[in-house]
Amino acid sequence: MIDFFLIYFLCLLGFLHICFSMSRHQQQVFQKVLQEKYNIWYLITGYSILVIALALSIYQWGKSIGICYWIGTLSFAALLILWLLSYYPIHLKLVNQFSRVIILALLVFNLLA
Amino acid sequence: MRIDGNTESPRQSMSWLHTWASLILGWLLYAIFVTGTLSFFQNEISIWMKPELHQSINRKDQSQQLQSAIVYLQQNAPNASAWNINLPNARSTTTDITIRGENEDPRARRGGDRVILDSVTGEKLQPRETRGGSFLYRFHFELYGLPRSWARWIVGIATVLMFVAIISGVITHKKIFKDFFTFRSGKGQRSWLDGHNATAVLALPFHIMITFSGLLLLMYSLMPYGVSALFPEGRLHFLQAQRAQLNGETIRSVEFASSSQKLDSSKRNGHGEGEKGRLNKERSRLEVKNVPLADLTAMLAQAQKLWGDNTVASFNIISPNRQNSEVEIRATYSESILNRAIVPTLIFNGVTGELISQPQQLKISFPIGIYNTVTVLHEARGVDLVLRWLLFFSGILGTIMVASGLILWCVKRAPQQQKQGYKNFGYRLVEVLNIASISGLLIATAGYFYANRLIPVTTENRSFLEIKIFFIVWLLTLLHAALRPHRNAWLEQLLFGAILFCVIPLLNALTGGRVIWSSIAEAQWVVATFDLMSLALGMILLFIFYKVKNHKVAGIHKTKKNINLESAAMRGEGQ
Repeated sequence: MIDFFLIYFLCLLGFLHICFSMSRHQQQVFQKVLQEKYNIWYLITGYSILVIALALSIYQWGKSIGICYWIGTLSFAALLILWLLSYYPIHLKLVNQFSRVIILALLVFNLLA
Repeated sequence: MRIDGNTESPRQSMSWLHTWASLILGWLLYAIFVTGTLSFFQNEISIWMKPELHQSINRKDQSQQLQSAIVYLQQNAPNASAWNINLPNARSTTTDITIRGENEDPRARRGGDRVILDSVTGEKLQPRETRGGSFLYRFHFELYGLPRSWARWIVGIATVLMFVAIISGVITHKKIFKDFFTFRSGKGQRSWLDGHNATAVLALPFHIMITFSGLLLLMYSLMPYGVSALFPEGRLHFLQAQRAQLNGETIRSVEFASSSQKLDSSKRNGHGEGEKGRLNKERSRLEVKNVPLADLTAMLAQAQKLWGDNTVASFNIISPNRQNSEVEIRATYSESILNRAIVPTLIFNGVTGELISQPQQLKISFPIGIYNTVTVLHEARGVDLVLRWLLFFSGILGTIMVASGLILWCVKRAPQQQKQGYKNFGYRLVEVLNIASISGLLIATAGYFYANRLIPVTTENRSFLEIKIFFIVWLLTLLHAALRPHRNAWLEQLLFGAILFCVIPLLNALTGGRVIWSSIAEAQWVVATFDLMSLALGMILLFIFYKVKNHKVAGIHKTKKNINLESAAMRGEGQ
């Protein structure tokens, strides 16, 4: 269960970065369009985090089941962002911070346990 | 190029295909999606529908559960040819036993006498007669009351249309990546389209997997000729050959008549001694002596230690109390979905208690790997609970996708219908069928659960009666939708469905099930989750009810009644 949440929040963080790289959503979240250089930074970081999530879930559950976990988790990470973006766009900044903290906490917990 | 000579872009033609291919069997697809999604929790639904089983609690002490099962078996069936013991797990509350009589094939896949034991007391439980979740499961690919092959063909055609809809939908969608996170709420048709797109795109891998594997699972019904040409004796021989190939044996199609057992024994003896081993085995079966069974708890401990989190699921004890007895222990979850849920297995000698064989690596070809991966996911075989929930929620997304698509068809055509002042027959038909399938099926499912609890246990043919009520309720929702005005029909059915589902936990407690605080306290999640999910569904329906109720018909979407009211108000102001 803990591993699942780790993957979930990683996917969430990854998708948030991809979302922040799009000017339409920047307007919604930050109320302004960011500079071009940030777009690429957000995009690359976002995809990298998703790849890390994939690697972790393969490490955790093996190749075949790990990929299934990752794909299933991706759907629901994106769904949460979609919902928040429609109704509480400003709060996405908080969600971003929150998922970083959660990921750190889960990583520390995993290393200790 | 169209008939009228105008050129048409690929996207436009795909859009046409998407609209009409989806509409024609959309309602059937919705029903398949709903019942299929529920089938991920078929066991749980069946257990909820047999409240006699709620008294049994999984105390997680497997050696005690095993002991009480063995005590029962030694007393009641010491001479059986095989005992199969399924210990309680996260998805069942009871110890389920299958006993095979003295002359039965000990490794048969079906048949045998089933006994259900209270996992704590070892007492035999007698559940009520019901089809339980298996009715919903069967319905999602064989419908009901139709000849099996007909029904499978109908579902097969619906599945093909679903596949067409997915592919044409992806092509029609203008900006998959740009609109990935986009949902614009409160904007009428735009919002419906966004919602339809979001549920489709976000779970696209799931939709493709479930549709493609649905076709593969039906392929022996839809394309039987290849198999029947190669295996004129019947499909059973084909399946045996397939299994043998998976186990790394060469195919000798002539010998498959009695092969399953033969292959199994030769596999176990190994080193090319198959034939000799079989002869020995047959000889020994003729002169069996009664020998006490080895200590099963020691084997259990060994398996538990080896598998860790992957709990021991079942014991298969072949020829118990005899000198040739063997014990197979299986784990709950498989470690890969490339093979069809072949879970880790240990085989012990049933007399001496020593380990005979370790799990072996299977050879899987690429096409079989694809077939296995998608079909195992479709059936959620041997997958753990978290992945099962992911599949379940993805199924819900698919259900919403189909439902929103059906509604979108109407929303898109509503302005034109209002302009002409009356509703076309076709439009009205879609409206009515939408209500009767989308909310009607949910009400019918609730009706099935209510029938299960309210029909007296002693009634004859009660499982048939339950199913009858399911269809009667469904038919009534259709009548209701046809007779009432569109908006009222939606509101009334949504509210009725919401009440039905919200009351289910109460119904459970009042009709012999375990009450929700007790099932939570005893960690009987199988029952608790059913109650909680019903409550959640009821709340969601209530939420939708209020959304629809407070929905203001805006601008061009004015209904006749509103226009009349408004003009009346204006006249009032004027005076």
